[in-house]
Amino acid sequence: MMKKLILGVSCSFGVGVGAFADEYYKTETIPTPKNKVMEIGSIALLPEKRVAVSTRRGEVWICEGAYDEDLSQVKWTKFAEGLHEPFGMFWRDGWLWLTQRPEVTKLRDTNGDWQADEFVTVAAPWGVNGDYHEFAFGSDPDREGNVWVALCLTGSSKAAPDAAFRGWGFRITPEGEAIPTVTGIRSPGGIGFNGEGDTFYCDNQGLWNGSSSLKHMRVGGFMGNPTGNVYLPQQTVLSDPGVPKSGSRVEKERKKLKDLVPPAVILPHGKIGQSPTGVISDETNGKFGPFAGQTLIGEQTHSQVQRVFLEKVNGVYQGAVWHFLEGYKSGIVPLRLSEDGTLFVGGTNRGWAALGGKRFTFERTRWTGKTPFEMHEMRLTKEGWELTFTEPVNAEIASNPESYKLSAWTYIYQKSYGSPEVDYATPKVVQAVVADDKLSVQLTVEGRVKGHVHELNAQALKSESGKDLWHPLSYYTINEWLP
Amino acid sequence: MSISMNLRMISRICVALGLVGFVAAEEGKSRYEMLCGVCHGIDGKGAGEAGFPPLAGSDWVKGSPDRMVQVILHGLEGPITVSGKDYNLMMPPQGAALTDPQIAEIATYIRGAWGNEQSAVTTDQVAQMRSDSQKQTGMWTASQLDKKWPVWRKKGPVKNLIASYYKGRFNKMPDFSKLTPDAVEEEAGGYLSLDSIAEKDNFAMVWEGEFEVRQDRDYTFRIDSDDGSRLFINDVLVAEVKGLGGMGRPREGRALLKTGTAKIRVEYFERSGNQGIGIVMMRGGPKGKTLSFTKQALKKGPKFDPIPIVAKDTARIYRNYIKGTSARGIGVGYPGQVNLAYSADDLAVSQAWVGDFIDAGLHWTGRGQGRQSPAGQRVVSLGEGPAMAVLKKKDAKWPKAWQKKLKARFHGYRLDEFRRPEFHYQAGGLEVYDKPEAVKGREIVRNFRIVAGEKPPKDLLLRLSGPGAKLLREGVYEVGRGVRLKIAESDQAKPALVDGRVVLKLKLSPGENRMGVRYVWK
Repeated sequence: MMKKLILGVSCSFGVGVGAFADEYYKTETIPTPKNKVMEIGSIALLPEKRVAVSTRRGEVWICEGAYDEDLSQVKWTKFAEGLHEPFGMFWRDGWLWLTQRPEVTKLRDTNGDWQADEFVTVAAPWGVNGDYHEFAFGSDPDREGNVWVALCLTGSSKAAPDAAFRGWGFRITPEGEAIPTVTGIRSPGGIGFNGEGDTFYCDNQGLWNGSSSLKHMRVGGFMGNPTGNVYLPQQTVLSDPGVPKSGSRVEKERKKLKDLVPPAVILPHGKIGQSPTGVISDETNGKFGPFAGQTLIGEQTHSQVQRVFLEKVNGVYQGAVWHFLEGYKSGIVPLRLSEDGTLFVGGTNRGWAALGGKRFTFERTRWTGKTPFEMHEMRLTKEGWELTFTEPVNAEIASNPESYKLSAWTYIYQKSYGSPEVDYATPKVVQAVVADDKLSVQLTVEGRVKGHVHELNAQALKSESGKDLWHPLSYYTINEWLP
Repeated sequence: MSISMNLRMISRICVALGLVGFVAAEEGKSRYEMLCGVCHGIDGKGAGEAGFPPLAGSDWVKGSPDRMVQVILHGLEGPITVSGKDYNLMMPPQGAALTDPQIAEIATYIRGAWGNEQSAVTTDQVAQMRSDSQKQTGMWTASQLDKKWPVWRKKGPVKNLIASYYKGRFNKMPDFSKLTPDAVEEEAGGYLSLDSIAEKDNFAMVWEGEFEVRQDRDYTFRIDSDDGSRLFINDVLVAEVKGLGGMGRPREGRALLKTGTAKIRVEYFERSGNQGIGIVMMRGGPKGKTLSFTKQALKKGPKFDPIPIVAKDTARIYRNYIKGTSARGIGVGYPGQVNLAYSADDLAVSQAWVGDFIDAGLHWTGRGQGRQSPAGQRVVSLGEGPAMAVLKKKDAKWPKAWQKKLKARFHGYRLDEFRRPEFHYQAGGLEVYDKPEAVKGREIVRNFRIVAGEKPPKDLLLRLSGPGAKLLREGVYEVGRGVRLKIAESDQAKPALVDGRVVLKLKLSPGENRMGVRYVWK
């Protein structure tokens, strides 16, 4: 008994089940050009099944055959070089739009040789001062056509006086107008939209971030790190969000700072990765498995992809995160899901190590058609949560409150780096009612805590056919109660 | 199955069985693997190809635990050397994220794992270390740590080491046979070191001792010093660094040694300013094992492998942080060994050089910290500050930033068939196209195409150089490093010197205006 458990620990590095579950999702490595260092920072889909990638070395390559069965035949063409570490790229109206460190740029080929020759600076409203950490992550166009940009702080902790708007978010209109949109960013790892078209980015554990989290970039919102507030006088759009008290809690400071947007989904440090990155929404209507409409996020350190359920409660985003895909070969940064259900991921471990030990990778993951037994949604109710499942549950087990273990905690909201888990609570499931179709369970819970992340361990559950949950742990962040 | 689950179950069982110490060790291991293992390696050897520092056998882990615990508490930034290898990454501070017992568990695990065989660390010790460094607000740097908690070192290789100290103002190596030492000390540490010298100017040293030779063979010795030094092996002069000067003047010599004991004698003098001495013995080629006789490591070459960007048949572009150019830098290398860097802030060519273009190794290795200097020679600065300005007074200073009324805006660039960029910006109501081209020989021609509206502005100045330019003859200026700026006569642009800079006074016609200037390396 003892020996078995110890083995369990040593095998389950990080969190997860070990081997990549090829049964449900199949991942393949897409060969990249020989002798080229392809540290992929963004992925864009082009017409005619071409896929473009940008690299941290500032190149853009176009891949043909990335969807094909035989990946050994992929063909690569270098489209551009000499760009400054782009993160975020998409195709629109014959141009590749990308966000590089100093600006949002659009580029195109005008003479048909598949090499870009026109590089148009669309907008450059922010400053850089020469620091390696001054990353800029750009989104796809939103529903109005704007590119959203999230700007890392100088050195991930400072606001260089000569480099404006570090730690801010902008919207860049198609015409190149730059609109200051949020303050309070620390160190983003990627930016994108949920199924509703609202903008989210991943912010990494550090100063004023007790843990990493997925944050909603509400227009006018304060994302929590006051370092970039020094730039307020340089613009007239956003007002001063105020400065939070170090050593407090987000939940407490929210009451004083009306613009403070609490993290929508906390990604408990270590338990659910360490460096969250790209954000995408599953818009494939089921071609990528049973999670249509949900949000996927990349994870650099643990070389994973996590799955997120988001809901708006009392006007504020919150929700749950589960482990989803793992075993990628380098640190995953960008994600791109095509309409046909092919998830392209790219990665790098330069400067930031990753569990998948390769220097860089380009991979694709497809659903095999076999549905894993998973929690599908975890939706807040007045009494507790409603859990839905991808297939019917064993009702006898699922109706037993003892089958669910809960614990809850939060993090210190402070100007120093990270936070331990604090203010532990152990909410209790007192009733579990299984629906007639056995696809959902209504949990009645005592002791939930507003502002806490709640770990639900549903390992005891079985599907009607006797399967274990693929990922039995979920982490739900409560920012608001149902009105 | 999650780790936290497993651990909680194990904890319960172990507590029941009275195995509390075992739990702590297991907690430390799993916490290490979860939080630290990705970079430092589950096996402690440092992660993969990217090169993260090892903890297994690390000289930062051995000895007193203060140093490693301080790094865990406050993090670490800047360049470091671990077990003889250089790194320049960042270790994020964990003091606010981990409790004292958690840090003690992790440190104990690291110190006991992978053959490190170092003592355990208690929660109380961590609490004490936290209080010792409570005034530390930022991350540590290696030099801060070295002062308070030096890296563990095994004893140096020199036995019976005697150091003799001589006061005096020496500009070259003195004849020690005519001097009497002011102090003589035995150095039990086994290293030649200047650490114990209180007054670090105007002195000389002689070290004498012995070291073990393990194999009969030819050995190469390298010595470097600030100021001069001489190395004798078995009473024979092997290498000498002559005269006054800093580190970075290494000299090499060889000696055939027999197994057993060999004698080493080092003479050294220091006039003023910095001081230092480094001596190594090498077996085999440059990658063979080395034995250092000094604590100070020898100055090394660049800490990254070079990745030169070469413009062979077409121009190459390198957008990055370039030394001498504002942070929005755009380097352009042209075939024919002529290069420039354009500032997308100033909207001007900020420097130009001949020879090699640029080495991307600095930025494409590790996190890519820093600004890279041009790789070539005769780098001429063409100044900082905006490309255009309106100056009312004759003796006005050139502005540091763009004048708001000019509404300057960069529009990017377009590449021609040789992939040479034509930069495009708007300022003062003008559309400006600035296309530098490398011409045969050491010359850059900048072709301007400026499109004006119906009423072109009358008082705009276009900057072509940095300060300190000299008029040589009409239309010819020296702009630094032997580079001549030649401006052909034109009705639309009259050259002048303003605030030491060469400018063109623009007298544009409506529509397109063309003009060209040449930068020639003499």
